[in-house]
Amino acid sequence: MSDGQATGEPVPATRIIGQRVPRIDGGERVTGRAIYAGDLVRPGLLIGAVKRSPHAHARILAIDTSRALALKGVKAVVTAKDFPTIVPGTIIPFGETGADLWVAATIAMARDTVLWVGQPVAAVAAVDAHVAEEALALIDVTYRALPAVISMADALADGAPALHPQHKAKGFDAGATIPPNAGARTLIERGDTAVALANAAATAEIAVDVDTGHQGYIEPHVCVAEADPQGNVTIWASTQGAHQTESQVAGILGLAQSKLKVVPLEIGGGFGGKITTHVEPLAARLAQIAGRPVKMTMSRAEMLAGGSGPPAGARIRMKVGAERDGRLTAIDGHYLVDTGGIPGTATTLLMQASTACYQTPTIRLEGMDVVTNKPRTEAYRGPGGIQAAFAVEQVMDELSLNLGMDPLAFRRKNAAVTGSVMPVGTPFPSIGLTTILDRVAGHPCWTEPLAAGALPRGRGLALGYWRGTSMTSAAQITISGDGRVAVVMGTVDISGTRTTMAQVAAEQLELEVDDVAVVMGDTKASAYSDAAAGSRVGRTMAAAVVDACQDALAQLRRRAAERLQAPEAGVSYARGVFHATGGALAGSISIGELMRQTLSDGAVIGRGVSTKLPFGVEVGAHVVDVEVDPETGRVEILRYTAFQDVGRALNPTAVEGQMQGSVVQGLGWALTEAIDYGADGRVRNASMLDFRMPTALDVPAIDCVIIETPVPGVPYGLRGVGEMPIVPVAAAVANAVRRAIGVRLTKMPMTPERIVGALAARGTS
Amino acid sequence: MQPFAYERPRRVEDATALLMQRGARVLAGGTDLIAQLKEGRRTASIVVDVKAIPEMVAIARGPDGGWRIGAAASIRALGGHAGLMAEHGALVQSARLIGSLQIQSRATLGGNVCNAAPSADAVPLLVALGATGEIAGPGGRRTLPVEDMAQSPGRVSLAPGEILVSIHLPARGTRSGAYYLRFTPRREMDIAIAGSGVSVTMAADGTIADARIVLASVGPTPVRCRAAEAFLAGRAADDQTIRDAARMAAGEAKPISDTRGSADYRRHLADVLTRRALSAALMDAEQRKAAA
Repeated sequence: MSDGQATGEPVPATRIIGQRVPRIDGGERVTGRAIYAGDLVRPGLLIGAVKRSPHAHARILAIDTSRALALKGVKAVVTAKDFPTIVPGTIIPFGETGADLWVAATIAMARDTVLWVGQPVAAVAAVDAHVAEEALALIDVTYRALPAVISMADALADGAPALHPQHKAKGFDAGATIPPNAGARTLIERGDTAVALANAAATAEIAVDVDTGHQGYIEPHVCVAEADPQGNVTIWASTQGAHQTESQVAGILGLAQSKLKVVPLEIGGGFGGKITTHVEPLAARLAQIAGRPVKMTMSRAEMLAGGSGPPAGARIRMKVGAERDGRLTAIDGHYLVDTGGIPGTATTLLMQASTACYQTPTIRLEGMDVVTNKPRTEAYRGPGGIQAAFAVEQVMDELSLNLGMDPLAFRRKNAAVTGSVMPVGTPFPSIGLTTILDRVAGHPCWTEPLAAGALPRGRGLALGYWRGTSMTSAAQITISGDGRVAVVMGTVDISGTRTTMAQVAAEQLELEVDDVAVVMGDTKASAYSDAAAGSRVGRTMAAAVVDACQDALAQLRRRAAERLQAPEAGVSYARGVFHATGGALAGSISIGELMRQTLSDGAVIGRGVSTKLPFGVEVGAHVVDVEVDPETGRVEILRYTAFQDVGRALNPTAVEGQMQGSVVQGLGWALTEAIDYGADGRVRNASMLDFRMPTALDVPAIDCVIIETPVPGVPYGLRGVGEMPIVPVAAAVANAVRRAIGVRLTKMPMTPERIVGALAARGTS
Repeated sequence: MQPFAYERPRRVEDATALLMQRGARVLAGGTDLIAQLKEGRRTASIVVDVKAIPEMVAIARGPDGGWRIGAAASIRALGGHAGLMAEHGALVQSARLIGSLQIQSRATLGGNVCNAAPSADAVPLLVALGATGEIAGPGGRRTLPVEDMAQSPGRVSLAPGEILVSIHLPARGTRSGAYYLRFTPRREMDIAIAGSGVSVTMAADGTIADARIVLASVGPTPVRCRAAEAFLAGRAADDQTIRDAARMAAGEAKPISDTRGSADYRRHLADVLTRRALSAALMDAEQRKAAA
C-alpha cells in the first residue's frame, strides 16, 4: 500500500536505498538462533534475584542479610550499602541534556526510603533460581510505613506528604505557592489566549485522564555480568544503548568506566524502557563480590509491578478557539504528568507534541510533573506523544464539529508549514504536513463512505507530531582482504539498523548489501554513541556511515592510485572498481584485488561521527474506522490507514514495520492496556493476562502510506520514523468512537467498561 | 518452585492410592497446576499424572444414549470428535474458548471443572446441560452433578484420594438448544469478565418447557439463575420474555469488583450476554428441530 512518490525537493536516484531488502538478522531471529542475554551461559554462572519493597512509601530501618547469607548455595547479597551514595543532579553524558545518575541509582536500589512498591531493596546471587528465591525470603527488612500518595490528585492535595522534601521545584514564579510533590513547572506563552478565547466564534474544551501504561517489550530486563581478577567487568546486556549502560553502571558502582565493557546482544523490544539500567548494576556488583558470573532476569510480574519504569499517566485540560472561517485563534493547555517516585519527567515533550501540528496566533501551555508513590516513569515510544494527542486531537475534532467543518478541512486550514512558528517559538524546519493532508483527502480510506453495519460505526482522523532528536552516533568501517566491508556501529539495532546501514554502506561504496557486514560493537570495540532513542539511529547512524564510507573510499583511492601509478585525481571509482585514466599505466583494479595486494600495507579504517544533525521532525495522519457495540462497549477496528512523511524511506518494509508496530502498540493503550494501581500502590494486574496487550487477533491489517519530503542537510533527507506513528492512534480511535456513538471518551484506555459507562452517563444526564 | 515427585499411574485405583498421600495433586493438562506451582499459588509434594489412564481420556456413548467424557480428555480431542460436536457443539465451542490452540492441546474438561475458577468457560453449559461427574475414591465410586462440584474459587467437592474420572452428559432431545457467550476485552487469550450459558428445551406447543441459565465470573462459583429459569418455563419465547428473563438472571448474579471489571459492569454484561445467549439457544433449538 506504500508508495514512495517524492514531493518537494527532487530525490537523488539511488540503487539500494529505498529497496525492500529483507532483514539481515531475520532468519536467525525467526528460527530461534539469535542470541539474547537470557540464552547466555558462562562457566560457574550464578542466578541473581531481587528483593523488592512491598510498601509504596516507607523508611528502611534495617536490613538483615545474615540468614540469607547462611543459606547453602548463596554466594552474595547486596543492599544499598554496597553502592556509593549518589546525590541528585549527578549528571552523566547522554544526548543534548545529559542524564541524572541519581535517577538510575534510585531505580536500581532504594537507599533509606522506598518510594514505590517493587523498588529493589536487596539482591542475591545463588547457585540456582530456587535457592535465590529462598534466600530472598530470608532477607529481613524492617520498614516504618509512611503515608503514600498514589494518584496525582492525592500528591498535590494540601497537606500531602512531600516525597522529596529537599527537592526544589523549578519554573514557579517568585512567591507562588508550590504544591507538594511538584517536579518542575514549564510555561510556554505567546499572545493572550484568554482574550482570544473570549472573542472566538467557536470554542471547544476537553479534560482527559490517561492511565499509566507499559512499553510491553516481550523480553523482560535480563543481563549477565562477570568480573575478572584484574577488576574488569563485562556485562552482556539487552539495552537500547551499550554506551549508556556502561556510563550508568560505572557510575552506580563507582567503577572506572575503562574497566567496564558492555556487550549488547539482541534485544526483544525496548521502546524506551531499556535506556535506563535496572538489573545491570546489581548483577555487576553481585558478580564482583561472588567472583562468579551472575545472570539476572526480571520476571514478567516484576517488570509490570515496579521493576521497570512505565510510561507516564497524565491529566490534560485543553481549550481552543477559532474564527467562524475555522482559523484557530487560541490554544490553551494544562498538563499534569505523573512522574512516579522520582521527579524529572519532562512535560515539554507533551506540550510540543500536542500543539505542533497547528498554527495559532496565541498559545498558553502550562505543564508540571507530579511525584507519586509509583514506579519512576521511563520513556515509551514518543514519550508523552500519545497522551498529548489524545487531548489535542479530540479537542480539535470537537472544535471542527462546533464549527460544522469537515475535520480534515479544518486541519488543512490550520496545519503547520515550513517556516511557521513552532510551539517553542522558532520557525518550523521542513515539514510536509499539508502534503500529507492532501494525500489523505484523495485516499479511499477517506473518500470511500463508511458502510453501515449492524452496530454503530464511525471514522476518526488524528494528526501526530514528534520532534525526535539527533544526539551522536559513530561508526567505523574496515575493508577486509577480499574487499568486503565491515561496519561497526556504536549503537544497537532495535529497528533493523543492521540491514538499513548495510544498505547505506553498499550505496555509498557502490557494492551489494551482501558485501557489507554490520555489527553492533561492544563498548570497547565501538566508539561512543548515544542510545537508540528519539527516532534518531537510522538518521544519525546513516550520516556516520556515509562519512565513514567516504573516509574509507579516500584511503582506498590513494592506495589504488599508487598501484595504478596514476595521479589520485585521475582515479575514478564505480561499482567496486577503481579506474585510472591519464596515468602512465592506464588500467583498473577492484577493491578486492587492491586489498589482496595491499592488506599488509596497513589497515583501511573509515571513521564516521555524526553530531547535531538537523532535526527530522516526524508528522503523520491516521484514519480509522471503528464499530462499537454499545451494550458491551467493545470497539472493533474495521480499517486503519497510517500516513507518514519519512523524508526518505531507507527500506520501505522496515518503515512499514515501524508504522504498523506503533499502531498496534497505540491500539493497545488506547483500548485495553493500563497498569491498575490499588489504593496501596500495589499493581493489581501484573500479568500478560490482565495487562491486556492486544494479540494478533485484535488488530486489523494496517495500511501504510509513505510520503517523502526530504530534510535539507541530512543524508538522503532522512526523517525519524519509529515514534510518531504511535502518537495519533488513541485520538484517532476516540474520534471514530465519538462519531459512532456520539460520546467523547476522556479516559484512556477506552476500555469496554468505560465506553458503557460513558453511554450510561449520557443517558442519565 | 519446590521439588516434587512425579507419578504416572495406568489405573484409576492406583491414582486414588497415590492421591491419599499428603500434598498430592492431580495433573491432567497441567495448564493451571504448573503455572500455580511455579507462581507459588499451590504446592505439591507428589504430582499424579492421570493422562495414561485409558478410562480418563476416552470419549464414548454412555448406556443412556448420552456421552461419557474422560476427565483428562483434551479440549482438542473434544473438538475433533465428530459425534460429540454434532450433538453438543455449543458445549465443545465453550471449551474451545479456553486459552490458545496450544493450551487446548493440553487442557482438559475435568481440569476446567476441578480448577473451580468462577470464570471457567466450559462449566456453565455442563451445568446447564445437567452433566454429572463420576468420582473415584478409596471407598469406591460415586456421582455428583457438576453443578455441585465447585464450592468456592479453587475448591471442589472432592475428599482426599478422590478424583474426577469422567463427565456424563445426558442424552439430548431434538427440541433443545444451547449456547454459551462470554465477554472479554481481547478476542482470545483472555478470561471472561462475565459469561452466560443457556440451555433450553421446547414443548410441542412451541413454548419453553425447560430452561437453564448459568452465569460465569459473577460469583464465587458458577451462578445458576433459578428465578429466571422458573420465569421462562411455560412461556412463549418472545422478545419481551427474553429481555425480562435476562434482567432477572442478572439480578441473581453476585459479582465482585476487581481489576477485570466492576460489579455493576459485570451485572450489566450478565444481562446483555444472557439475552444474546438465550436468543441463540432458542435459535439452536429451532434449527435442531428443523433438522430432525
